[in-house]
Amino acid sequence: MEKGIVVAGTGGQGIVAAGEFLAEALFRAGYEVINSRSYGSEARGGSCRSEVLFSDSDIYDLQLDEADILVILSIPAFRRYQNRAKKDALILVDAVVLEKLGESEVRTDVKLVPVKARETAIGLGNPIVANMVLLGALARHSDILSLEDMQGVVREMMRVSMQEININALESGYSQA
Amino acid sequence: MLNPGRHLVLGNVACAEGAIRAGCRFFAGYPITPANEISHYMAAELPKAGGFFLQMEDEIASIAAIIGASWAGAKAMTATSGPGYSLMQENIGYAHMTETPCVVVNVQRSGPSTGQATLPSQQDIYQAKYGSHGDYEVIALSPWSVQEMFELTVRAFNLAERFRTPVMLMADGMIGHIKEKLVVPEKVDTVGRRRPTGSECVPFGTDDPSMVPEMPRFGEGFRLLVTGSTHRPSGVRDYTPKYHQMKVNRIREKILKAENEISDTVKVDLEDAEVVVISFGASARPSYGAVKEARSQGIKAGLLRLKTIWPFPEGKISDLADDVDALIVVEMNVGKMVQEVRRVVCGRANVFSVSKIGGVLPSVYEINQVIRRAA
Repeated sequence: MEKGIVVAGTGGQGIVAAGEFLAEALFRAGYEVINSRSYGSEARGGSCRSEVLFSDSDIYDLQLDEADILVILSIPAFRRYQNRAKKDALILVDAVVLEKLGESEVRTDVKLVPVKARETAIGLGNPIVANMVLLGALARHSDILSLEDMQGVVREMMRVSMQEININALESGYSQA
Repeated sequence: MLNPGRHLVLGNVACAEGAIRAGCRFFAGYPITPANEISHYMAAELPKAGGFFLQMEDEIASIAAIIGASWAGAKAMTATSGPGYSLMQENIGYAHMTETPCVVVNVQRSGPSTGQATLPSQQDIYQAKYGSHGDYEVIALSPWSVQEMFELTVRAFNLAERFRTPVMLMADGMIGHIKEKLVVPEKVDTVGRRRPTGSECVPFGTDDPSMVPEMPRFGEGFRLLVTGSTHRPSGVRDYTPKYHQMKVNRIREKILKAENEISDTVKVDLEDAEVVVISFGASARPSYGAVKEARSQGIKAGLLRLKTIWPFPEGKISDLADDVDALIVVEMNVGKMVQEVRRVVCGRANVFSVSKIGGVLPSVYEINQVIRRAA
């Protein structure tokens, strides 16, 4: 069993942080994990991607060919990466991204879940936690990690001042049907 | 520092952790992607271990600082990537000429020049061997995993002390920038510096069969002149052919004659192999997958993975050439290691090249296709 997740968006949206968070949660759950990142030389605004490969045995691959799960935070990332999803893959996408895409641009052979990520994060007080709203939705729509697994990693890994908002973001994403 | 046990960390963090555990107590560097996390970790952790972290004004100063620190008695390291590695070349030659143990980490990125600054490559492997002017021999290591970033950094320090020479850790931006499992051991084996034992010291000459002189440090009372100019065993400048030949031959031979001790390769499925992939660093990861896939397709394929790329393992590859039909060299550059393999094989087996630039690894599929064609 080897599975792959791609988190993609724009530099500054917490793409690498979301990949690292998922990787840590999976690692703590006992999986072998490879987490890679790819970004431009811009501090903000360039294309940004994080990949998480996980398996119950050693992983020799370093690059993901096709993803089982996509987490998408920007329009260019959606256009660029939706074709790297397997058939029947789970694609979690910020609802504001999906609204701006034409119907013909969206694949129909995948499980596409729009999540009010940015909107929810702004409501919580900081748009930077949109990534965690999407990861909360991931806990609901896949069986790889539970909400409790993710909350545990927030408590152990994040500085105290950021824990509450991140836990709230996870819960908000999880509770969106 | 990390506690002994299992951690999910970046390759660059594993390198820095390995350095501190190997006894590194001085680090000087200048920021560059994709090597920055080594500096970040050293800045945070080295002072806690009683060491010094210095951010220098550039890479020339960084390598100069670690050479000075080494002569003051410290185990020292710098870390950089392509453009910074180019800047360091003159002083790397100085470290060879003055037989200064130190570790230079190059987390290779895609060039030339600024190139694809954030993307990985293996383009600097010749620069590691030939980058500075003059004649010398280099030890260069190539880790294929986060675990090996740790282990080979430790080994780089040990080899630097054992042979009194700069050692290159030729990592790549792929391994430096992935997070994967690192198991930190309770203890690592370290090699200490061979220090003067008597009241006299000959800092650049020895009768010892290792050809590695004892190394004093500044400030402990020995008359000590360290110069990049050709010198007598005492350190005094002497430009005569005799002393230049004596010096250059010894600093080369101390490494060449120990090739078997230095060289480290990993053999996968080689016993009955007819087609063998030769690779190193990140490129060896998809190579491994392609060989396993070929085996499942009924092809007698194997992998020779080089953990040390210099000195080049000529003997091992020459032996292979007599036993197999084809050798395939997989690397993230325009085809450099393959030239070495062709030179050694000398027509005794077919040699194929899978070389890829652009900041991406060759895929398992691409390598497997070449294995199938060669079989």
